[in-house]
Amino acid sequence: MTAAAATRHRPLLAGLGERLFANASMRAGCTVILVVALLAVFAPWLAPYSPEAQDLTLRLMPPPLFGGDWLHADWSHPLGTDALGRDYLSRLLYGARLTLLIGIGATALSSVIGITLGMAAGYFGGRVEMLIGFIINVRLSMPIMLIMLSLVALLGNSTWLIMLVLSGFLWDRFAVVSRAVTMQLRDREFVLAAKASGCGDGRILFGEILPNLVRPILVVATLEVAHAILLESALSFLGLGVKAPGVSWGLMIAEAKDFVFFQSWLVTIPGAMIFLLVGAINLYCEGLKSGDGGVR
Amino acid sequence: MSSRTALAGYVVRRLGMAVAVLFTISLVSFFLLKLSGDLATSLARDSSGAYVEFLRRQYGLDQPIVVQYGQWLGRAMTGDLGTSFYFNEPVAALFAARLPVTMLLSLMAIVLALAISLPLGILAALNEDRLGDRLIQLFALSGQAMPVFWSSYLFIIFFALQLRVLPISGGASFAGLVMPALTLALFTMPALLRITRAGMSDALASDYVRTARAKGLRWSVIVTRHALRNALVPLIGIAAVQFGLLLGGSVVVETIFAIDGIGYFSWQAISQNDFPVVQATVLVVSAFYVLLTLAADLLSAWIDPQFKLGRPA
Repeated sequence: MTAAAATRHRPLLAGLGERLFANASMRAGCTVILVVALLAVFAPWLAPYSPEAQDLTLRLMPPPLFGGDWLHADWSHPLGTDALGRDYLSRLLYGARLTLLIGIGATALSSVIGITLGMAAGYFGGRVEMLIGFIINVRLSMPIMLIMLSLVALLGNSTWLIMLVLSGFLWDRFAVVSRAVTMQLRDREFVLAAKASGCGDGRILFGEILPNLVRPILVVATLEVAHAILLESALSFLGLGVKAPGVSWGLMIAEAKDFVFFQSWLVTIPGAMIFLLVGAINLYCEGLKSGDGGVR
Repeated sequence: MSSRTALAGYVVRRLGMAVAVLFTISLVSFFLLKLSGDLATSLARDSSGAYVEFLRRQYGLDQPIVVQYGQWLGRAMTGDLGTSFYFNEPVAALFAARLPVTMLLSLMAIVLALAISLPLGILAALNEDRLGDRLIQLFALSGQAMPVFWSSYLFIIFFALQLRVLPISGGASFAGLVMPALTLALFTMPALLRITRAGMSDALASDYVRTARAKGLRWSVIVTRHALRNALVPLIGIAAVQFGLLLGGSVVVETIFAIDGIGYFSWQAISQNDFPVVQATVLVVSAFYVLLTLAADLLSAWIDPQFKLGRPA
């Protein structure tokens, strides 16, 4: 039995908790994601300093844990300071905000594009499907890193633009998955029944088919959030993503790249955070897939 | 429908799609150049208005946009990709000088990735849902979560600073390409590993493997001769896609390791507003991707027994 059939006659939010935490990978992944999200939301209250406050007398202070004698070390900056004497912990906390915002925002936007295209292709078939299949093919053949870099260089790197550019290139998996599921559902009894009782295409697509897309779309969405976070950090790393005074984890690594040899924590700490967050999101996605009837 | 006509129909449709995609990509990269501003003023630098006018006529920029596109496409097809603003040299020559390094780097990466993911994928499928499988999947997951720039620096810190066995940068020597290739391989490995594991696990559960076991064939023969062969079909497509992605995705690695390939070259071009170069990279990399996936699709159609039975997938 497919997920579609299983979830079809249940209210959308029934047993949500149980479905979101069904297995160990999902619980572990979700815990990390929630912790990072809480840190991001409450950054202004949690951060000991302003992320932009410079103290040039305290440049490149190592984190106490790196120093050896950490019991008697100076704990005023728990993760040390960067090249401009800014508190690294505060920057890390604030960095989580833009990193998550861009990741989630870009995914939300691209899901709208992808689901619309995918549902239309799967439902109408024929010429419409051919055209949309072609658009997907074009998108897949484009070297996204180069085109995104060019667009950001030409149009300027505001947070919104980065989100928009990312979402313009991350919709393909949404489209492919919703096309496949819609095709499976197109000739099922409940769709035919709706058609027979005089429902229009829009009503069938959004009322009958869309609710059945929720689970497979959730799998794709988690993957794409992780993907978007990695791409944003790479853009920021190359100097064409988030720009100062904004902070993102990718930008922190970009600012630290000249210090990788002697102050390696400046690179390893934000990198480890990206690794942890993206890893947790992927872990959650694996759990979601291995649950009953997930889309592989 | 006979197998031959089914295959021929598929080939024709697939070729048509490839041509249409290439054509659209050429439109995209043409407009990327147009979006970057007026070519004549960029070329004239600080010269007078009359010179700008002269250049505009010289390069046909006073023509309607459709004519401009036609001329540009005609030139691009004959290998004339325009002139770099920054180097003031033909883009095609600059590009050709840098393509081999990136090709070699991507090739090394994909070979390394296959060398890691094939045995691990098979091992995971043989131990499905046991500890070994879990650990291998965790390894794939970690590879997927590593930002390329971060793993590059971790490798630099470990191999170049701690162990001092590899040079920090430079694509001039083979040793200089090992670390960047390893970084890219780590990034490519998860997709290849997953598809190998999935293919193997399906094959091991299939009827022909059960029959082979019932006949009393040695297990090693079954795994390598029968199961692996079928698992390899989807791997061809994914490996081709990943290779294509590497060509356009080596920007970060090339900048970190100071490798003068097309990735670093186009990143430089983007920051110098040298858009004829960017446009050429987009065009060539996409064309390469289209041809690569076309070849992979045709190859799998040719191998796939479903086609020989006249039942195209």
